[in-house]
Amino acid sequence: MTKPVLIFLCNALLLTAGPSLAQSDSPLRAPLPQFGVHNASIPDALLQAGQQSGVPLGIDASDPKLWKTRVSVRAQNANLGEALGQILAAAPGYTIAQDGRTVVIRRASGPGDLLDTRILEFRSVAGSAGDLSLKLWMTLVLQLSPSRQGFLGFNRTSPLDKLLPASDLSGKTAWEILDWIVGTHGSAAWVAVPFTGELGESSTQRDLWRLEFYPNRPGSSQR
Amino acid sequence: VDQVRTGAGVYVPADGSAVRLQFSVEVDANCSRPPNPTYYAYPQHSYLYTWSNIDPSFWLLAGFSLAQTNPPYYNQYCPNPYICPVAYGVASILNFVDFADFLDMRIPFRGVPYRNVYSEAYTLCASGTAGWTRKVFGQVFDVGGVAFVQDGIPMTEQVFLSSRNDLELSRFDTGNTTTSYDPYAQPPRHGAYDDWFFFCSKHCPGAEETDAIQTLIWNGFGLFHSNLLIYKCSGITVDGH
Repeated sequence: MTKPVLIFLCNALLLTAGPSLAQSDSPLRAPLPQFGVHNASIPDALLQAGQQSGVPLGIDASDPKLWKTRVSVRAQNANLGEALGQILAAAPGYTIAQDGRTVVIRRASGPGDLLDTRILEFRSVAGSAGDLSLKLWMTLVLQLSPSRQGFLGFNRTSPLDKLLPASDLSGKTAWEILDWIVGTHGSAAWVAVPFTGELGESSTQRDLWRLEFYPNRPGSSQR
Repeated sequence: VDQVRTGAGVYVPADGSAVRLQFSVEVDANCSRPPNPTYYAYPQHSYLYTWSNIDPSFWLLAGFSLAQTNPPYYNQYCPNPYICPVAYGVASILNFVDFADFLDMRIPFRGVPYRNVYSEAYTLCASGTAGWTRKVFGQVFDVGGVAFVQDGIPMTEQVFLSSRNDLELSRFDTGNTTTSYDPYAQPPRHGAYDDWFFFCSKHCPGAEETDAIQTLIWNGFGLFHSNLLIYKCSGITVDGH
């Protein structure tokens, strides 16, 4: 049985860097003619809904309980909002909001986390979504741990990634910047993962979030 | 009598710790004598081989089933760390050893960059830092300099900072990839892997340097030759390339 679901639509978090969507163009109305997940974790189910609809998602899945809860959902001729609502029926206390082109699933209330950190300076030249996510991670770490001197690593770009325009997102929170990254990319999601440690020398971006690029759908045209 | 029907070596670590092999074995289920742990050497080759410890679970299974696929008994002898003739077979409950095959297995030795895709200042460092980014294609070679040309081989890496870390870099992420065909190589080649590097440091611009050791892992096998990575504000080199 499907539990009744309340969907909150919040348009208050629109970023200046991205155009807002008229209500009739709401990504929550993106069609999902045949949607089904079986025994999937809630974040995985949400991601599948995002992939099938092609709508960028931001998923706060930093609560480990969200990964342990398994859901099975089948919906015919539904839209994205309805599918997300069915999935989140198993996770009370989560809201669905819209931030520019991105649909964001977050806890309705609770302690703030690292992604609520307001990034004082985030000016960027054009770069891939992966590189911008990397830059956000480094900026966040340096802002919280100013003694850190440098980063070394691996910045492989997904073949599904694309070049995003130069931007100035200074003053936005980390998750608002992530919304902008995936929303501007147009076919990706960010997923915050459970993080229990500290932002130490060996921590990585993947300790906090990861980007997921949607595979190209048959018959769809790449924007 | 036990018979080895098929066998294939799929992975050979050169430290002698394990050889993963898959077998299809026909077992004489009527034999129930316990194994004799002193008869695991094939006589003609005992000067080369000492059988590894036997897996008791195999004996248990072998005595009670008509078909057994793993784990088999195995052995290897490495005259040097790079070339391993491997014998593999099974020892039956009657202490009869039936070899399936001998192989001279090529051991992946080192990864060598052969094509630079880009090497440039990294424009997406966090504010207050600067650095470099580079992407290369490389290929894994054996000790004789012969390339491995298999596509679809998973590769990962381990990177360790050396004691020289003037740029005060911290490990970030290590990568993974899969070998594939590189149509842009001259000439085009199979078995290529892509390798991506970047760093950002508050010490750049400057003349400081950080050194690191990169060990490539090809199909789960850590290559013997590690690459020296040198990070400078003006570039990144991989084993001098």
